[in-house]
Amino acid sequence: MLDKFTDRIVTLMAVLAGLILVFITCLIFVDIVNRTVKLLQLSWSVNLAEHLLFVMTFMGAPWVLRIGGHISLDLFVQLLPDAVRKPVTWLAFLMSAVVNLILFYYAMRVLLASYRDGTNIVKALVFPEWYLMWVAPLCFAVNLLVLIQLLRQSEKRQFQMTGL
Amino acid sequence: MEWYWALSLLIGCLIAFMAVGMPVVFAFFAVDIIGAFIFMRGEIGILQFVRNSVDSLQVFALMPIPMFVFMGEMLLHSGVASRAIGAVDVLIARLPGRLSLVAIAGGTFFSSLSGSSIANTAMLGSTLLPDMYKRGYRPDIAIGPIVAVGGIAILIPPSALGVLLGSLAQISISKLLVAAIIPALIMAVLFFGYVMLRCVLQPEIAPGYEVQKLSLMERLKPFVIYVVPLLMIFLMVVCSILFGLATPTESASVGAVATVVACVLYRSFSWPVFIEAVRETVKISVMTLFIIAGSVTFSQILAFSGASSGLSALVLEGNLAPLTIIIGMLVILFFLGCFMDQVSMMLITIPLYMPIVSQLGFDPVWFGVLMLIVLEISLATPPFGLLLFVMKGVAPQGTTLEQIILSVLPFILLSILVVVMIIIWPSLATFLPEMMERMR
Repeated sequence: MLDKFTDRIVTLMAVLAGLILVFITCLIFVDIVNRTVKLLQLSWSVNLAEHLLFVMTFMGAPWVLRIGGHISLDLFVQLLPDAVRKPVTWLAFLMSAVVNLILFYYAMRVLLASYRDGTNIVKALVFPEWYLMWVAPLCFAVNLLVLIQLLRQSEKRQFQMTGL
Repeated sequence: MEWYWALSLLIGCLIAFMAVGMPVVFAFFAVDIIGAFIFMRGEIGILQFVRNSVDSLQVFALMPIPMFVFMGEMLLHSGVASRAIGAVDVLIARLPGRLSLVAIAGGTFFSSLSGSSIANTAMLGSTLLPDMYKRGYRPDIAIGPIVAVGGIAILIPPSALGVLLGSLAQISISKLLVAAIIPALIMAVLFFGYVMLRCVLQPEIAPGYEVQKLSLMERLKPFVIYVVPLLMIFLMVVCSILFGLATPTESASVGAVATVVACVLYRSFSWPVFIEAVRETVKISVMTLFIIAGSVTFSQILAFSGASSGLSALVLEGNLAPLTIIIGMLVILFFLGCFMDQVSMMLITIPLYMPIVSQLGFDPVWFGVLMLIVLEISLATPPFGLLLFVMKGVAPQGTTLEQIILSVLPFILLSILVVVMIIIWPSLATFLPEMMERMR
């Protein structure tokens, strides 16, 4: 049940991240074209793209975690004997889960404080900060769910290497 | 706490967390939490870390990263890239070590369109290597050029890693991107020369074979159709940055749209291809940017604990020649690259290195190019060099990691030669940015 829920929310967030990527690219492109033809009033486009880059990253992070896309150095772990490697791998998952739990807790506090204080983001676009801030605790919470899922399947799954 | 204890604690924890196999991003986050708690007044520090992680990604300068990666992925998955490599293949007719030269020329060309050296190596490895083996090429001349030229992708714009370095080090991204062009081309020429020389001296490592006889027009035609239009995209991206017509983000978005248009015109566009390219782009970009979420706090902790200034003072008080310090910093970077990924290397070293570089009065763009080349070398340095493993993944069965490492070694030495050349003649890196400045 929990696995199904995790899979669904992770996929939904990843699809959103992909759509945001396409949207940001088009938005900047339209902004450049608009500079020449001056059809629309797009002074907010750069700011919106900046905010969305954060949203894209935090929306996509749990999916990247699930597919083992976050970079990790498994070199030393691979050198360990089987009997030691399993608990060490388990420890890595557990420590990652603890990090996400802590960050979820503090991100929730930041979110609630922002909502309570009515903090606004004041750039070309003016809006309450919590419109943006909720993505952070969501990301850490779903990361936590994915890590729990991975912890239960730690024998089958490993973090992999990837990069630019 | 003395700054050296603070530095040892932070770096020690980071290495320990990475060594047990924690994803690098969570290892950084964990160190940020510990550091923020100790050096930034407990819970207030952790709350600040959360805010920093949100703010550090809302940066216009970081936006080219996903777009540059997308350009490469789109060309890769649509098959347009392999057709362009095929056109280069037809153009290079009878030269010793022909397919290895195709790998270098094609790889340099593809790297001019792709922000990702992983995509570059994967594409060349999977398309050219089976053919090389079939023609009797020995692994040491077949694999080396592909892995080595893959690293050129992080030098020739569009370079996602270049954008990241510029953004983290507060160096002008436009200048850094254009500054790396000449060193990258020198590197490609050196690789080319090495392969030809080696194949002339040892013809048995790359046996010659009968190439289909074609007229000059027949050889040029595919080049004009499949390569020239893509070169135009590259020139558009680079020139708009060079002449100050657009920011790197703007030229990246135009490049990304132009790449999609090119795929449509080549009739290689399909929605599954587009979705796959977006999927891979999200994967690579999110992986990189998520680590950046921890970067601001990491620099702050290094500053608050006195580690940045303490180390800087220690180095500067040592009465070493400025160039010796620069070389020492590059050597440390090189060794870090043996067991660490490029983004982590940058995150750890940039907050410590850049104050020293500026105190010594060196041009940060020049140092940025040197750093990029060392990062490029480290991509192919055993035991962790990422490109070695990418190659292992796409190479025909039976290719060992040892074969890959041995074949890459001469190319690493040539890359180090380029570093030495830039140290001796800094204008190799500074000429284009200075020209850019004059033209504005």
